[in-house]
Amino acid sequence: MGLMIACPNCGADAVFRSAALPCRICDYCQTMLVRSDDGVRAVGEAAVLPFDVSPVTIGMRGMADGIGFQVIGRVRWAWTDGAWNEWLMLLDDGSHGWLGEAMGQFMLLREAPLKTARAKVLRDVINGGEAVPGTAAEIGGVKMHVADARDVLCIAAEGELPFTAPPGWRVYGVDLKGPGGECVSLQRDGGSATFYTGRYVTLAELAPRGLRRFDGWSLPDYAG
Amino acid sequence: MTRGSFFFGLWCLCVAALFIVTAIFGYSPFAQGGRSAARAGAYGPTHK
Amino acid sequence: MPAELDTIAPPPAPAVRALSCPACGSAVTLRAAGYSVTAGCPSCGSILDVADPLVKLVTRYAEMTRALDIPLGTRGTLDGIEWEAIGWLARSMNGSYPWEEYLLFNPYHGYRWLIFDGQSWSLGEQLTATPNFVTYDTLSAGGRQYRRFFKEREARVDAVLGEFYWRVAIGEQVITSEWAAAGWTLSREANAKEVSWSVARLLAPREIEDAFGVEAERHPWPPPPHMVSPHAGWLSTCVKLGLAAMAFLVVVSIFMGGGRWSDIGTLPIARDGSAQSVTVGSVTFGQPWQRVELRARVPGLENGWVDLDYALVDRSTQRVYEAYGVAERYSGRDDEGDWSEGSRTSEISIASVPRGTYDLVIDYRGNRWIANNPGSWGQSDWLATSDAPEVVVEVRRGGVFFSNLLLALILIAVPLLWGLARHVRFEQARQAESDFDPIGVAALFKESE
Repeated sequence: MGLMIACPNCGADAVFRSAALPCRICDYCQTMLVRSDDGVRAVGEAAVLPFDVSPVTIGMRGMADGIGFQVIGRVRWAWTDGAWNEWLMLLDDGSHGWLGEAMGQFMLLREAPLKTARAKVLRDVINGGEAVPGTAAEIGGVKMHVADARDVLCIAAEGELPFTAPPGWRVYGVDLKGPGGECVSLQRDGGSATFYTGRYVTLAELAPRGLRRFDGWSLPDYAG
Repeated sequence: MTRGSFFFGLWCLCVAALFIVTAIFGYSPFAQGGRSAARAGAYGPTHK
Repeated sequence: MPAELDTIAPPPAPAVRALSCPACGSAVTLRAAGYSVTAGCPSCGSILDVADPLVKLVTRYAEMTRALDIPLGTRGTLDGIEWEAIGWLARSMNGSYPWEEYLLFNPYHGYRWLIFDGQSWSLGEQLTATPNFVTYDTLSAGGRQYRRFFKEREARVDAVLGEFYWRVAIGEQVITSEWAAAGWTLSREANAKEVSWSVARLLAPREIEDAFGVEAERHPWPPPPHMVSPHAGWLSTCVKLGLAAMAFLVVVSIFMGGGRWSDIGTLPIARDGSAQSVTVGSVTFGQPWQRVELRARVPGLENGWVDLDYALVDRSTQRVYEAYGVAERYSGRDDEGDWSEGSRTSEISIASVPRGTYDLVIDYRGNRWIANNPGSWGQSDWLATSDAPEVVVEVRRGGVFFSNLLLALILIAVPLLWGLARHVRFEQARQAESDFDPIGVAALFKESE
């Protein structure tokens, strides 16, 4: 985990574990190495986004609602001030699901037919409008509220994906949350839209095997 | 918290013990007799 | 909207430069003196100029993280999970009521928040489920009910350092409101793009001290919104204990209740008001020790008094137990109507009379009361006009002094009342911080300002 660079002085490997740390001493030549990329320069005025620290990785296996799955692909989305991952799951019964990962929280989602997105706020978005966070909507009998509504850009894609992720791909995404951990996500891409429904899960619930390992962090109890 | 409860329980025990002892001996600091008692000085109604 | 789309950029490519002494070219080190940090060369001793943006970056970061209660990169264990403090925020309500937040991270457990209000620390977590509406002032989340505490206010970021999962910047604002439960707060934060809910648990001073080595106020004042009154716990058990003790004493009193009044004698009172002495015997007391009550009733008493000196003399030891009683009764008529005062009966008690057979010697005298106003209506001489002025004397053995019982009950109640007063004071102070009216015990005594 972290940023591995070659020391410009002696060429040895140096790792910056924290994205915010602007400098470290090279273990070999003792030179002070200073990061000068944009994110770091704003020390004291703005935060630095972390390096990609997802514990999920392609090849990870687990159980979702009693069906085994394997993570086979990933799409990374960014908005103006942050980013998150969407991992593609191939379930043992041949279907696909998505594991959304944002701020350390996980959503288990399945694509749902667009016509089931009947709530007014969803229809407005599908027709080109915007959603206001906090707006209520009844979806599938559950009273949900808009938690998030923003433009996002696809910044990375890897593994096996059911679509091509062209460079510069932008969508408008709306997320809603319910009182029992239910969530739905609507993504509008120009004229078309995709609708996903699911719920929040903890990584422990998925009984994961093959989690990514991090230097300096021990595996959790639930990883077995 | 349990320490406070303990001390209060001790306090109740002391009060109860003292009460029972005075009951056994028929004693009270408010009794009129058993010691020399004060006499009322003046007589007459206090009304008006 | 198109302008906003343009500003979403992929993460910047990393760039690293080596910083060396401009004078002699050797490697530089960071030196800290008090609150300031400088980059200096150990070989030639020169200090690097902060005009160089890289030098400024390095020294500023080092200074800022040194000044924090928890330097970034520190790890600590809370709730059995190890966390690393990766970011720090200072926020305030547009300048007032400032507080600090640390972002804690564990790759396998996500993120948590350490919130410091200046006195106490809380551990916060973002909710994945929205709270439920219970009543106009109560929400429920995670099986707990929260009552509204702070209404919507603007919170602003005043300073930021380190990593966050979104690019927080100074000046960023959200509308925040808070609800409180015992030991927990529920807060809502909203801006144009999102609404998020989180709960925070008040950490015991020991917890945060053991985890991150920072101190917490043991008796924060005013108390934070979610602090449970330290008196609530012991008070509830002690009230039950106290009531049980009181009931016990009452039962004991009833159980040790004394006997009945028994007539000792009827003594005539001299009409000329002279003193008399009568010995009434014998009076026997059977218990090792007992209370003895003597009652003297003067049926014909009006506008006069009878004073009685009692002496209980033990026949075997000749020890004397003395007491004094007076029956006084006055009446008359004035411009407000008839009035009367006093009683025709005198009851006295003698403490700790030992077992034995006694003679009761009574010295007594009947007196008439002459009013200063001889013309007052209804004035009569009871000694002259009643048929046979006499005093009826009765004795009662044993029993518990009611005054003792009352004193014991008060003694038991006093610490409870003190505890209740402290508890009310705590709750009043805690709820006074809220934007909303107090409820519960704090509201009961609101009048006493």
